[in-house]
Amino acid sequence: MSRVVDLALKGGLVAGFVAIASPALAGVPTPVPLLGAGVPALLALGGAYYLVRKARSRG
Amino acid sequence: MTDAACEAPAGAAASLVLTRNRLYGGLFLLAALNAASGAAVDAIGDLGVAGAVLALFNISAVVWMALAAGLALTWREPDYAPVRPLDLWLAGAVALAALLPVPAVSGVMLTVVGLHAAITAGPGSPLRRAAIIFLAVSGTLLWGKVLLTVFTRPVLEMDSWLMSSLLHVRQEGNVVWREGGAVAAVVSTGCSSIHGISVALVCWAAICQYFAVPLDRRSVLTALAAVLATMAVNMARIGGILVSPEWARIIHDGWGATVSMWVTLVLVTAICLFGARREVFARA
Repeated sequence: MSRVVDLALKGGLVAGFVAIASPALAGVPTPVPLLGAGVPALLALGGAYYLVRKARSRG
Repeated sequence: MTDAACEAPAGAAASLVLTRNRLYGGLFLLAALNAASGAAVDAIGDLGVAGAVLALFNISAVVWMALAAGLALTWREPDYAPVRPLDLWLAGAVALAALLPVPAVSGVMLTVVGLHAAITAGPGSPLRRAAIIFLAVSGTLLWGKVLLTVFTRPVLEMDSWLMSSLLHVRQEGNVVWREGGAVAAVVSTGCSSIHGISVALVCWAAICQYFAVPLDRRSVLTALAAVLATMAVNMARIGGILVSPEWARIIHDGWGATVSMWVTLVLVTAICLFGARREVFARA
């Protein structure tokens, strides 16, 4: 019996978590200032990687 | 049970063998792209296709670079561990999750396959290193948002409390204001440091795992410094709004936000590279 209660409690906890987190799980957008947004940021990181490779090959 | 070192098949057969590395590389990519698909669809709806491409589908450039680093580890590094039956079951589950129109399910699957690969791959192996990168990616694609949704109030109050302690301003709940100041700032979910922190941790994980940096005190301190830098720039941004309310719109949405993004990106990348300098700048 106690095992059933334990299982029910755990199930309730999981269900509660899913219910509370449902907006995030459903992908409801929130206004997010994105770190590393856009193609310029990708180019900057790509440039940094190129410089690192160059430095590594020189030793 | 972890992987033992496996011999490479001879000749041209080597390029055709489906190894655990290659299987998991494909699974990581499939699950990560599906987990990101919700943001991508929103970006296309808001910005159009060309705008969404230029905005990288509202996925951070750091995350794209981390995906490339993780895939490079699974595809380039020689490791010929054979596929196990459980790997195939997981592959089926990832494919099934990709068919569902709920990106979060793929986010959860990315975490599951990442954990499984990290636990079962050999210590320091390319697969374990790639798995750690993709676990960090799942953190920013899903778990950061879940954390913020489930614990909205305590997370925002902690952000506000840190701001009030460091900037010497008054705070109640998630509202901060200067004594005698004209305006108060409400720290909302978009202003929380959590988003930036999750991306900073992806940057740290990608650099450390790609260049095989051991997880020691130096590495942990590097992660801590990257997190603190992200929080400091965010606090300076909100502090700027309190000090100069007439600049609020520019600081919050305009070029002030762009400047703070670039400052954070440069700081986080520089800190992670500096922390891992011995391995990063070692001769290849």
